[in-house]
Amino acid sequence: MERILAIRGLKTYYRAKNRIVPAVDGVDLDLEKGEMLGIVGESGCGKSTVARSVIGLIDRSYTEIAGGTAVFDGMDLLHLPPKEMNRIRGARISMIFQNPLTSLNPVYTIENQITEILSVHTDMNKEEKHRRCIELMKMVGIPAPESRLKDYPHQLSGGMQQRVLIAIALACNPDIIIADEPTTALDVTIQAQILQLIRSINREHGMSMILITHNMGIVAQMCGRIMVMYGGVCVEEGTTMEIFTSPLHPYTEGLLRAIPSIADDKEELFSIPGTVPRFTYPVSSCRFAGRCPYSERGCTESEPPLIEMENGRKVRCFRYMEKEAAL
Amino acid sequence: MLKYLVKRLLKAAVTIFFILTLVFFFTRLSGDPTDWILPDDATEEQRIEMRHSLGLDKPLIEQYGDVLLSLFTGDAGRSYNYLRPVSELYAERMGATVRLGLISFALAAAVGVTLGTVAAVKRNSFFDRFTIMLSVAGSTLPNFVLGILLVFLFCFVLRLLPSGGEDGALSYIMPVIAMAVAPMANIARLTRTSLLDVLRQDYLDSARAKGVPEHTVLIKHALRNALIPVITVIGLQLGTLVGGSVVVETVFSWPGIGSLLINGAKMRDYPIVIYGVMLISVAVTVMNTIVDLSYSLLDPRIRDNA
Repeated sequence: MERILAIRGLKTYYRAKNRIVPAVDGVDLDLEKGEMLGIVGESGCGKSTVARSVIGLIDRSYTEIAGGTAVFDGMDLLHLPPKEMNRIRGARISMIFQNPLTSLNPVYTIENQITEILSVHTDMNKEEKHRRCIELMKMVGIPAPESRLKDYPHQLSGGMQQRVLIAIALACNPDIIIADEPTTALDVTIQAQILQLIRSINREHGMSMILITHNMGIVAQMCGRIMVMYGGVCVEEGTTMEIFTSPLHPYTEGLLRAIPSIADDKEELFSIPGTVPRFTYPVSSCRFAGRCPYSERGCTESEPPLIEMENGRKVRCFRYMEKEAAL
Repeated sequence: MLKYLVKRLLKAAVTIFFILTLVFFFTRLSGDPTDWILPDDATEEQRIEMRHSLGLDKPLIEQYGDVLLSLFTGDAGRSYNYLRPVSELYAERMGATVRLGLISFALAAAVGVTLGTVAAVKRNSFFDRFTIMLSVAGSTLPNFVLGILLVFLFCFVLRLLPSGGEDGALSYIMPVIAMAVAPMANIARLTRTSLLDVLRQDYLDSARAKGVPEHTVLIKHALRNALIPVITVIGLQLGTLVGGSVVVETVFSWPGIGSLLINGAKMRDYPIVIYGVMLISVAVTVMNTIVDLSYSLLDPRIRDNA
């Protein structure tokens, strides 16, 4: 396997009044060529921030990259000058966003918005861009693309809008596509179609993908490997099979139990009690301790390290460490 | 689109008709014009004869009919004081007003949009705070007060600029400033607010994700959207600009239609007043209609609903 992106010790901090919020607090992540990696976690756990830090879409007025590297093709993306970053964004790493309607500019036509990325990164002439635009629209399954070119975003359905965004992401044949909750804003029936499309892009074009979602069902279907994030750190990482059959972290366990099942005849749905708390730098306890059913005194006294096993599986939990020590 | 245009124009015609009616009755309520035209010691017979020659002895409804008719014939009568057709008088003075108005408007729009944009991009900076302060001051200071202050400073104290009249480029400086400051302040404030709102939108991030350079993101994606509401305000400012010209022209003895109208009102010169108000209301209505149409050109979402 060829490694295409290597993130080491990524720290992205938000400066709020009088305090620093460690949105991402030391994340390591490797993306292999052609794989589809899932990042899961609740809202506010830092998964989008990881993606946005890598692609340089953070608002520098209140966010800073406090440390780490993200090496892609010999370049550290976290410390690239803006001009060079612009050459990578869209051309070599592109992104699909959560809300398709608000992610398209309301005053420009579909054609304009798709060809814009071609104008930025290629020297195609008008005719070539037009042809490529239609080709891309066909590729992402927009019926009768010629008749849609002059449409404005509000004239398309949510699913079609998301297909347009995917077409934009695909336009320059990037090496990596980051999809940030690509189906969250869509109807369930449309979700399946869009996921299918994303998977076929991953398989047919061999593009490496990072799929960010809070939906365990989606990662189970789509991804080979999963990173579970909580409170700005990775709490568990492993293959989809490992994560689903033998979760090691209580948070992963909770996420899996929260998936509603038809076979389950219990009336009440399971949910992890509480919400993601706001952490302030520096953090000196297990971040999940406040909501963990197995929490003990030691859990609040220091932060557990991320243990990496021989097969590459990772977990960050004192309870697991104790179990291992007892064996 | 055509249907929409016809509807707009019909509405505009109705508006102008109402304004005309209102002005007609207001002028007739303002008193007897012969007080001004004839010397104080004129006899009652002379006054009656004068009223007859001006057509003021006809029944009110007939006079009203004549005024309405004049809309279609184009003959709006003669000024009581200048004894010349009012259309001729206005035609002579129109140029000065249009020149002053256009220059002021162009300045207000260009500077207002620029200030608002820079303030929004550099939010909370010193420049931003300074712009907010300036725009509050600018929009609250009445143009005639500003005009008088300018005359005092540049004319009496510094002796740099002529106090009035249209005579060369220098004579434009003060009237243009007096006219432009208020609309400029409003445009700056609105551009800032609107752009701040747009700067939070997701589609800017998707443009950045395409690799579009930041200045293109700002101008092509952000400003294009932010200016949609600003255009409406600019259009409304055009109306105030025309109204403001009446006052500013008086302060600076500008030889335009504003000062003609004011003098007409003072002398109960009915045809001058009616024709002047007509001109201004037609101009404002036409400009508002143009703004309305441009609005739907700028925003495709409105185009579909129109």
